[in-house]
Amino acid sequence: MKCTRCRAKAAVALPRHNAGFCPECFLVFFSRQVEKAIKDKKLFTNQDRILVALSGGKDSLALARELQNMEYDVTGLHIDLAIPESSERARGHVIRFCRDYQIPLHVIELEREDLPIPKLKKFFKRPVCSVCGQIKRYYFNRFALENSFSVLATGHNLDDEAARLFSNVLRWDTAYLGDQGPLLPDEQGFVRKVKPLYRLSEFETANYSFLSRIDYSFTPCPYSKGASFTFYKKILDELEHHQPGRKISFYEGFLNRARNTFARLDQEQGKEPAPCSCCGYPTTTGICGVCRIRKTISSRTTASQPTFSRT
Amino acid sequence: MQILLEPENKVLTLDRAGNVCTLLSRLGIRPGQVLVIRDRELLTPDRKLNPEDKITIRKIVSRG
Ligand code: SF4
Ligand SMILES: [Zn+2]
Ligand SMILES: [Zn+2]
Repeated sequence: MKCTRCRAKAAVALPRHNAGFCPECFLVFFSRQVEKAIKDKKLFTNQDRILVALSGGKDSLALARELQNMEYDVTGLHIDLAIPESSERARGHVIRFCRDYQIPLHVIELEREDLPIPKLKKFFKRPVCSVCGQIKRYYFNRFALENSFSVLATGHNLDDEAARLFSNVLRWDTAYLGDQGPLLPDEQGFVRKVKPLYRLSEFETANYSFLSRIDYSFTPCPYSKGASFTFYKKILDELEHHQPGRKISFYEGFLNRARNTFARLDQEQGKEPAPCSCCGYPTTTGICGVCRIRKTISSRTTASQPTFSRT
Repeated sequence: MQILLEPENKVLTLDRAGNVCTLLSRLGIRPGQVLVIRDRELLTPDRKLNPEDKITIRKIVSRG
């Protein structure tokens, strides 16, 4: 197979674009897709201070590298989840990456916050990923606001977004459908959130990271096995294999023709968020999710402590 | 032909070579789910493989 742009030997085949690229041309293709996402969806400008959520995986590191190449003002934030072995390895990748590319980095340790993920896994019946996701979103948002960042960027790719959309559609979750997209504007205690890699597939970000020689962590989180998203991604992979281009048309079709309808519905029916009575984080339930997690833990640990009665 | 499967770090030895596409379908893998690497070079599905090749097949997964 030859490169579609320069006719050299191709290194990456992209059936959905009916194209193949050599390493150099693939990197050009990748940058153009990121640039298109930023410009088309007006995600941010050179004036913005951008906080990039760095997990140590290929997507977030590729995003930080690419934004830095484009001369945006980027700072990294890593959340150490305190999962044995896995978190230490991930954190090592993030630290080395930021050192090598001279990207300022902040780290929040959930162990110090008394919210290590393995402990929460024992405490809650609901899937650990939903607890973990909630805590990560909370700290990313809070850190961004408290440190005057105007934008929070995450490395979500097309596969992540298509799988999330698929899951939201299967449940007809209108609130989530109205809220899904590559740009969530800032409002009422929420920083602006953007996903500049939404046009690029997981396969493309993996190729980018490999060709850019980014030293990323490719061992998955030990808790990711049972996640329903992994299963939905597999289903969508099958669909994409038989109908190249399906994922992007599913997702972009939603953005262009359906999202606004759900967003309007949510405005009419949804509740207005108000500050959490414990920590001030915006919530529609009086006390925010993370404060409720803390309360549950402290009530159960007090309840399970031995009590001594006089005989 | 020696195959290293990542992230499991499992090693397989296969005798017949063919191309990347046939190798992946023998292993039940879709081309868009892995990187196929030989001597630090990425291989597209049409690339021919040799019996003496050492190939890394790296699954692309998100860290979460
Ligand atoms: S797989 Fe689940 S538990 Fe692991 S980092 Fe992702 S959300 Fe957290
Ligand atoms: Zn080329
Ligand atoms: Zn709170």
